[in-house]
Amino acid sequence: MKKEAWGGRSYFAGLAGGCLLVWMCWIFAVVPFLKNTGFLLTVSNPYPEEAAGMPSLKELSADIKSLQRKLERLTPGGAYLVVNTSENTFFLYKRGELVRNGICSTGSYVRLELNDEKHWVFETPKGAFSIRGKTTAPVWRKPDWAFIEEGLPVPPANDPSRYEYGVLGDYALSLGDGYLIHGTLYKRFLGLPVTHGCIRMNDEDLEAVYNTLPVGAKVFIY
Amino acid sequence: MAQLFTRIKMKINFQKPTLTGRSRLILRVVYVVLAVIALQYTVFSVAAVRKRMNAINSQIDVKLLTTRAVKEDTAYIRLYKEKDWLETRLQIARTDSISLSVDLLDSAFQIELKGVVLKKSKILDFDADRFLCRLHPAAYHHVLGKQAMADTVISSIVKQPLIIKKAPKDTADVEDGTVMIDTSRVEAVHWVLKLDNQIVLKIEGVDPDPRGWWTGQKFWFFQNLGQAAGDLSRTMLFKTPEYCPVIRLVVPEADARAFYRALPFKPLVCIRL
Repeated sequence: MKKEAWGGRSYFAGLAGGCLLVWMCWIFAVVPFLKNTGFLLTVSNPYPEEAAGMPSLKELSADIKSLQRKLERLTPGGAYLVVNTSENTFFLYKRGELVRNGICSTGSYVRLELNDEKHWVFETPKGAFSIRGKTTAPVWRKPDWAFIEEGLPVPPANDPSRYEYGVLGDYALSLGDGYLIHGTLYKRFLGLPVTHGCIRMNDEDLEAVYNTLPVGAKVFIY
Repeated sequence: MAQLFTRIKMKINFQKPTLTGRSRLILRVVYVVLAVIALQYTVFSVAAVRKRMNAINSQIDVKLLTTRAVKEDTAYIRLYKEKDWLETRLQIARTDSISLSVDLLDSAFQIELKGVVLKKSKILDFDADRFLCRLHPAAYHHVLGKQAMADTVISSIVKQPLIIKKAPKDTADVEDGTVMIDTSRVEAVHWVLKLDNQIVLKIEGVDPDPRGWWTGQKFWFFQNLGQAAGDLSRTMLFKTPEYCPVIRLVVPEADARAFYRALPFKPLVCIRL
């Protein structure tokens, strides 16, 4: 008796489940197909035989040429740099042609929290920048977070302990707001997101970038 | 062999269980309810597509500017779309934000900033709703001939992969400086943009590593489920659901990730079909 009742229940459940499955297939497969089927989209739309306002083929071709020229002019004619922060790679262009590419390091996305009010996010900013200045043998003036990160007390603004020599490589190119393109002592981390927001490169790439990009050249970071 | 089959047959001897009157009634009610809901959903969903097409075609300039000759001239249509595409990109180039350009004609997917192509990726595969392919030039201009802004962005990955670190109290509290990059993590990269011109852009990142496949399928299942649930609830109230034509793109996973993280929260998008 009990066995029969169970058989009936499972049969009932099987039928209901099967029915639900067919229903789901209808909703997720058949309806999207019907929505996308061409003949359903044939909506009556009488076309006039003549219409004013549409440009002629000649006008269209001329407009396209003019627009293409305008778009081409937007790409810098001189040298510019493109940095991909997701893959930690850079691409150096000169007169529209790629002259050098390689790996670099960009912001680590670490959010350093001192307390509830004060924090820093080590992220490389995205957008269009330009080279504000170029220096050789740069000196790093350590900001507050560099001390906080190491568990050290923050010294006064012009304290000698804030200055570090030889850690930024041979050259540095400033992007403004304290962000630099510079070298590194930690070459094994190149290609990884490990910086505090600056862009690090190896010595040869940095030299090429330094020599190619004049002050004012565009740097696109994405 | 024949004996063996007979023995198995005897053992199974399946008998179809008989349902009680009550169970049979419940089943019938369930069948009818599901059938009615499915029918209602089908009718309203198809009506939504027609309604959208009618709404576009009934605009006065679409009516006036489209002649039969224009509709059938493929060279003209190609140039018309090209002009729309260039104009939209120029319009977007005047802004300061990174934008997305989807060129289905050349299977290219690129991000641009101030008119400069930052990265171009090959679209490996795509499909667009036939609705979009059926638009004639003036209607195309209304739907795709202008810059669109993403209203909603949903993704299987985070925009900013932040790592929270508490400042050490003293030098003894400092963690060692070893850089730990977790390469074992499987991350399927898929994202959806719902544009303000009511077009949905679905981007699927593909990777040779098959480990992320299941995560990706789960993401799309829940997206489709949410969409169907919303539409079903509307149709059950006898309301036409909103129809948003879909463009699905398959691109390399690394590019899908880089593009998603490069774009602002509400990116500008231009599309060419």
